[in-house]
Amino acid sequence: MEGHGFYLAMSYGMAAVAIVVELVALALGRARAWKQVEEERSLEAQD
Amino acid sequence: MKPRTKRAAWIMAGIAALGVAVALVLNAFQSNLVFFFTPTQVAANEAPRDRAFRIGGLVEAGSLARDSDALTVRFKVTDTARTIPVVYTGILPDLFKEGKGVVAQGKLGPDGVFRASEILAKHDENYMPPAAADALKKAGHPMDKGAFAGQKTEKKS
Amino acid sequence: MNFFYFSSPSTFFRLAGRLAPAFFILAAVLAAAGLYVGLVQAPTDAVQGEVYRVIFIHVPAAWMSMFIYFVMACYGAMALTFNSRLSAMMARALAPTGAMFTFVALWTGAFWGRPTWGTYWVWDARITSELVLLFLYLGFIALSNAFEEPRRGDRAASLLSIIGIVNLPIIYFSVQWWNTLHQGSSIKLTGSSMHVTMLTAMLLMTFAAWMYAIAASLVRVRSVILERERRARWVRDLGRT
Repeated sequence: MEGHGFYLAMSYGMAAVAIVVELVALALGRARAWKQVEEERSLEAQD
Repeated sequence: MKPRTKRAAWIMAGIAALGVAVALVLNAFQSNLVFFFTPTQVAANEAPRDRAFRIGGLVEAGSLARDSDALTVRFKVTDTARTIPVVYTGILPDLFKEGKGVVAQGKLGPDGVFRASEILAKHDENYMPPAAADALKKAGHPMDKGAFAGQKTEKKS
Repeated sequence: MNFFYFSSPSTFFRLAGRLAPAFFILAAVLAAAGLYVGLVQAPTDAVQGEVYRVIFIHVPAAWMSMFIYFVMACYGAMALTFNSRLSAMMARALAPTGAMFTFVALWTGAFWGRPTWGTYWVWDARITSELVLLFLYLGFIALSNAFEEPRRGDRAASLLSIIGIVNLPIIYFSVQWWNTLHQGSSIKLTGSSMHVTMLTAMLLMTFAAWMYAIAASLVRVRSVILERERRARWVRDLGRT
């Protein structure tokens, strides 16, 4: 392991971070989309 | 954020991204498409004389020598047709070895010696455990050539 | 069932919802296997030592960055020629995942380059063209959101994706066309210059990345469909799942 652990950790670590960030963004996007659908439904109910 | 400011922000972001992409392409066409010159190209005067450029090739086996200050190294870069002597002061990358690929940035002196300011190791596309590499070496297979075979002289096997 | 059955947003919404979890599971299983083979079983490289193990992330990410762009541009072309809504939505759903893989390829490349070449970054043709790819993705995302009328965003972004496709052969062949610091491909049609265990790990990771990209874009396309079609009858009648 002649001192290469840092580079491996940075590579694998950032890949993991990138995937987690994307998964969180996906969940947030999904929640936002459903919120818009709910808003549309409540507008409808008022009419 | 108001929809209009949001849209303006997206437009700005789009223009910025495309601008950077175009700038990178133009810059690449101007200088970076040729990342390095081979010794043969240098001999044919294809490399710039007045400014710094990079040469690439293999570190000629047996050519590596250290000055007494232990930081200055001298070696020859070869593409098997031509060689260029290089002098460099500084720390070499781990993968720098005789017979391996190297890219050096610097200026060609009037004495024909390339004074390098930066040395980069160029590794090849072969991946194998040490035992397999030893076996190949014993069999006389020149795996080290791969670093440059991928480039100008694509193997037609 | 006619050919355009799944090109209706409502049917595709349901199909994507059923398929996405399966692809996530596939991705997780393949990644676990790939990491095991790559980090535990694969031998140390003769020249680079342990640090070569970055390839198990770097190469799949780089392949996916190009492949996703190609698929995205195909959807963009379909959106422009057939004026189909779902194609444009799929292109939108793919872009962030493609950008993520491009970023990971560049980042891991930097942390591989430092110990092997001796530098984090050089402006050689391969690395520069991959960076251009990242900005093409970012430009696509920005353009598709830059218009109040989403269909105009679709058209502008689709056009960009088609123009940007010229960058793909440049990335792929850059190591042959020009002198680059980046080495040539280890895997060619004529065979590979890689130890078989290393190759197995890399292919497992590639399939994992592929399955992940499908799963992520299916989840994202569902959100895009919902937002776009929120006034449609079928969305209003949709039970919250």
